[in-house]
Amino acid sequence: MKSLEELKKLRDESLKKMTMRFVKDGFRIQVGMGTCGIASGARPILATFLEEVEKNELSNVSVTQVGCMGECAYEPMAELIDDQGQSFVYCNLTEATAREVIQRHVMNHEPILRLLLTSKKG
Amino acid sequence: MLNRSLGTSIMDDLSLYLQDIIQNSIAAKSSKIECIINEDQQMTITIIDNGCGMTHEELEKALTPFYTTRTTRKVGLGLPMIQMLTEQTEGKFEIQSKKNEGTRLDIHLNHHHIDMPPIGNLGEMVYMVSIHQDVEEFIFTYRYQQLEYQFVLSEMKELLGQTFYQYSLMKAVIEMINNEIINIRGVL
Repeated sequence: MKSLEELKKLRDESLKKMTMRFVKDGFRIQVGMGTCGIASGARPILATFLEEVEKNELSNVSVTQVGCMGECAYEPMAELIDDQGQSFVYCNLTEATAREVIQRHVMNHEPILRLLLTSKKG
Repeated sequence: MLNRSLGTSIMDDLSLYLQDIIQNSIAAKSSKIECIINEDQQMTITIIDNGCGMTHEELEKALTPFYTTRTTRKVGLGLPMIQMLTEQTEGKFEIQSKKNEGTRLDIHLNHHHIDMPPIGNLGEMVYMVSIHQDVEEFIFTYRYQQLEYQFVLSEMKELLGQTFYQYSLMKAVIEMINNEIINIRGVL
């Protein structure tokens, strides 16, 4: 049973790990949550991104949600804006490919071409 | 059968419908959104936002799937889907809106109806709405007969700060909300 007391405890544990976190020029991941995104399973994708960020103790990644991204057939989608400000739109994401995006693109600076919207649309 | 037109995707629980409809409030540039679920003989769901609202003409058009103000996609689906949900449970819904002031939606559902979807993960819905950067305040209230649980985003953010966006806190917040709802209504 999670209570407010437990949340406070978790917060304090988390704060200890978070020292020097949230540097300015980081990665930003925005998961599409329009009707199409929600219906095709955007929630577990967002949860997976957050999970990977925490698991790998990444201090330079923020994950958020946005509305419809305009390519409903390719949902779930997420836009990754890298530390240089360049945008990559990943589509048809699964929990496995979301993990791959964090591990390869965010941690190794290696965009995954086969998952990009531009490659899928041809 | 509107939901089948989204290919393999289905809105199969209430929490997904609600998240979808609340995304409309976010898209309407609301900074404050309220969602109240009142469960008794009937289930009444009220969503109030302070977004850009609609004129009378826009409101009429809002219920047709082929009208949308969005620029990213040519059809709007949110309200027609709620309309479908209320029709299939023999409920009704009302929408009031004032340009530049906000919108209020009242959804009445017969939640004992055989075509009522399961309630789903409401905690997840609340969290997913709350992490949108434009949402400053989100108040979620669940009332079951005489009992009530309320989640106030500003209080939660004050308590958790940046840790609100951490995975372990995400899980804990969602679990807490769901537990509170189970506490007052018995099941989720």
